[in-house]
Amino acid sequence: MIEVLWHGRGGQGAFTAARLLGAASSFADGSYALAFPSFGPERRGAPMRAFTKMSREPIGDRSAVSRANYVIYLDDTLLGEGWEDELLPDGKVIVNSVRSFGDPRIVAIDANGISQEILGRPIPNTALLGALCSVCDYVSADNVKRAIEGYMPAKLHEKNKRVVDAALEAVGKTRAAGVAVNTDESLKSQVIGSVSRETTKDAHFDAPASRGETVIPTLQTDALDPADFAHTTCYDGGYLVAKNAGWRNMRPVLDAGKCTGCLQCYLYCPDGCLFRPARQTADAAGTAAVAIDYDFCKGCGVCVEMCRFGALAMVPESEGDER
Amino acid sequence: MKRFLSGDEAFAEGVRLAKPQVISAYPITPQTVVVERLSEMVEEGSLKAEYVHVESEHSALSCAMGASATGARTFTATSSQGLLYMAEVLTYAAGGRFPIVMMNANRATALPWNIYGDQRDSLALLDHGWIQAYAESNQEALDLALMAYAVAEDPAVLTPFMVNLDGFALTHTYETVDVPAEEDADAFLPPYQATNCFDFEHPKNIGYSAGPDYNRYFKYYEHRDMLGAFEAIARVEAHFAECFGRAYTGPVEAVSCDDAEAILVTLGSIAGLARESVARLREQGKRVGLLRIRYMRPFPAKLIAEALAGAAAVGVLEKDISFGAEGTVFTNVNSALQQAGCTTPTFNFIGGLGGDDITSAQMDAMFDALLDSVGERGHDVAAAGRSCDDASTGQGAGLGRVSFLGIDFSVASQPACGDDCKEGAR
Amino acid sequence: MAMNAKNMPADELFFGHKACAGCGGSLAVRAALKVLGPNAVAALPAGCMSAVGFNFPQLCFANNAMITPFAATAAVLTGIEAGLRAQGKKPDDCTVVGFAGDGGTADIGIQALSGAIDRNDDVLYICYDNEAYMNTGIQKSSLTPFGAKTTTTPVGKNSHGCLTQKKNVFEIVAAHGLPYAATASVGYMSDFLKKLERAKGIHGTRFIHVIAPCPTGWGAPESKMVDLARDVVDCGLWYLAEYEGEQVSGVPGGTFTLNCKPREFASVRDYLKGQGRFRALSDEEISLVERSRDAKWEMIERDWA
Repeated sequence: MIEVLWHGRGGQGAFTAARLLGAASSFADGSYALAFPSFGPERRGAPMRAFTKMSREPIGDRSAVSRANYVIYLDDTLLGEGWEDELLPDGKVIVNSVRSFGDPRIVAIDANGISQEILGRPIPNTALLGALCSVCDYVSADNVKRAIEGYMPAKLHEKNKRVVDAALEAVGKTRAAGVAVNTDESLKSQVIGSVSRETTKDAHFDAPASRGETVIPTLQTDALDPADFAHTTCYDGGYLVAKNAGWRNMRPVLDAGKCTGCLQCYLYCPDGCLFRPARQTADAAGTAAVAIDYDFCKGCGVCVEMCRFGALAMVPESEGDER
Repeated sequence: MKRFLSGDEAFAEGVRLAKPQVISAYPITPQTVVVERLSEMVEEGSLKAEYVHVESEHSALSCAMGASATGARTFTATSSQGLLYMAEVLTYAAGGRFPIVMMNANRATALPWNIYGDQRDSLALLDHGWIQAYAESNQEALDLALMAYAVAEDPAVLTPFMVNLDGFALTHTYETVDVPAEEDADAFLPPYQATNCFDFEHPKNIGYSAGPDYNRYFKYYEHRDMLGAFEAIARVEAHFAECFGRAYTGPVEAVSCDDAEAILVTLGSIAGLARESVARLREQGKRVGLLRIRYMRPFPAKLIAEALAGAAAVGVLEKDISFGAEGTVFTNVNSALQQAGCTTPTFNFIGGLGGDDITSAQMDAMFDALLDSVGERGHDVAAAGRSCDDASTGQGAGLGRVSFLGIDFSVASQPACGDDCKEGAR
Repeated sequence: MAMNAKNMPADELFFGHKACAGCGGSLAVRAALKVLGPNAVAALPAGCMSAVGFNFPQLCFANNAMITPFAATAAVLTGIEAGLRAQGKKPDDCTVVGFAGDGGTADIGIQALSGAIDRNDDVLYICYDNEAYMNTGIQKSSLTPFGAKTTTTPVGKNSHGCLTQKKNVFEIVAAHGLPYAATASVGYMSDFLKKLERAKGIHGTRFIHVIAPCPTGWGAPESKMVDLARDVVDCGLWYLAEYEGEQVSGVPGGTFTLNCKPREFASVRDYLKGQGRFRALSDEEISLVERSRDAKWEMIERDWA
């Protein structure tokens, strides 16, 4: 059995790709496939996973794939620490990225660029399917195109088939040229701006802005014992175990010099992530009236729209860290 | 104090003594008298409670749940379609571990529309996480109103409690009831000390969702703590006997079972008729016994198997049928016997549907048929187990595994169902 | 002084939730709890805000909060309020508040809501209206507007989305003669905050119907959520109004007040065409939307102005 684990964000089309792959690999008699998403409460923008299982035998195991032959990232900000743990020996990672990764197991393809050029929008899923065909003999590009014809709206057929061809060609070239392996740098340092699924700590403030004395749900780290929590459905309000930082690939940044302190960003943030710091930060332009909680900001950009003074702008997550 | 009360009235008296702080009320026959009496008690001031006129049963239980989440003792009552209408809220209340007490007047379920008593309503909801007790008399109903709160609110149990009264046979039948004095009831049942409730010092989130990683733990404890109700029932009944001088027998009551050749298992008010029949047949030298199930949940499988172990034939009489299978009580009893490695042949009698009377002649005949089945086959187990399909008539042609009283199980003194009717039953 | 961005409490009582980026519903809940404060007790039916708000062990309400069966928001509110009062446990500044979506209010929850209003229970019911069943993935509710594409009102050869008009919940509620009802939009925050403060200070059943755009379901960029919530008011397809029952206004039958009368409506076409869900509408259908808007405003100006 060949198992594929897709990492994307809600709305990026990871599950569509997983489905198309499943269809493509099971046209022939005696071939079987399953495709399914991970179901969770998280919404559009949140990291999500999808799975494709392909086999010459009927597949009885409908559970999630924890280690896969191919792990595909629709967004390179999702490729972070622990990626190797999801990969079987001899497995491959395919990632939508313009960067190169100093690891022969990782194949990078500019799927956004390809889809932008052909579809007019950066929808990377079918490009990544094309890339997979190039590295995985089990499924052919012809069958992927047949799946596109069978399971996508008619008006999308021609362009997405061209996307598949373009991706095949792009990966072919990269592989022919050989992967530039840079052994001096660990992958970790190369995956710039990636957000670990565990935690991130913003390092660019010496002393991060504080909310001061406020009533607000906070992250807890103590172990949860079923004997304590499972007798009832009544637990401490405001008990958090996970950040939302991993949802975004763009982040708002504040130009404190332009901020007038009108607080419209704070008023309209749906996530309460713009806040009035209790004390001024050690940031160079540390006079800002608002600070941003990057642990929980989902990158919706409402604050930027609300700012009439151009003090807030969205920047790609990778640049955000270097700011 | 001795009073002559209907089951609904008796139960309302029990509720008054339990002092719920919030009552949500919606009428449905044959439960309505309960909420009428309670409204009078609140009006006259003998019961200090918030009485909420909800607009449906679904809201009745939802309102009780909201009130319970504040730590208030709560009560509501329903019946039949009303119980089914609130069915989804039953699982909320059980999973949330809100120790709500609800009276259910057992009544037939539509269609055909029928307001009379049977137990298809509550037995259809055995799996919804509520403790379920079945009263035999108005006295037991009143006493269960008090004991239900004590069991449900026990910190080790914390599970909602449904007290079932047979529609009309109890709810609208008057009999003498001893109504305890308020101070005695207060001594028996202290105020509810909630732990799963809102807290303004340390705010709580209540009744959230929980995904696949956590759900099993909540369900495990829901099951475990319901089983814990057995101990709580024993404690509470012992305390009740101390306070009021009336003793109950735990989740089952065995009558003359020890040396019985044939035992009839049943629940609710019909046990009274079975009790008389056992006494009568014993006088004739027939070794028969009655096992009354008082609690269907938690299900006293072990006690049932112990009581039935010595019998050569067991009948289960219930006012219920799970269409296409058998009576639900029968399924449960068979499971109890199977777990105990007991191979006693069992037979299911379906009767009293939609308020149909079960006569003493029928009751005697059921015992006789059980005894006959022993005689016919000796102790040959293989002869048992015929299905409803091949049971053409009652006695004589052998006892069917599932028999409908008055259709494929009839007695001489009662006009047998005509051939057309039998055809229809197949 | 009315609450505004400068003086509103720093407390974030609804935080860390898993709503979509740019979710209007979560902004409505956040803003309401800013006004109602940490002693508010919230009840939320099965729906977006409960699904994203407290999935154990991520419990995103710092105040007391509870889930309810889908149809039962108002009934649970009633029970909470009665339970607190019966025990003498209700703090003076405690508002018992429900947050239900459009389906949870105008469809499955309307019976329980009507019951609570009938009893005049001391609760605040907030309907965050994102105009479809978003939790289940964008299906039509009775508050889905004419012409909107949802997954159950698809665009095809025979029809262009939702064929029914948005149910008039505000006036249905007002017809009960409750103390206070209002409409609002998360795009006009000062108006919404003012109405929340108003509602907080009134005893009895109160109802606020707040438009809360769902970028995911409406087919619009996440960053435009607030702009959409303004545009829908500016083009006249939503209105900001209040109803004060006799208990509050002293007028038999109560009074309606229009809070904001656009001098000139912004373009309905621009509003509709900025959203994927209306993309298929023909010119004829757009003028149908405009005509029904005009008819509504004729009534508003005649009866409420």
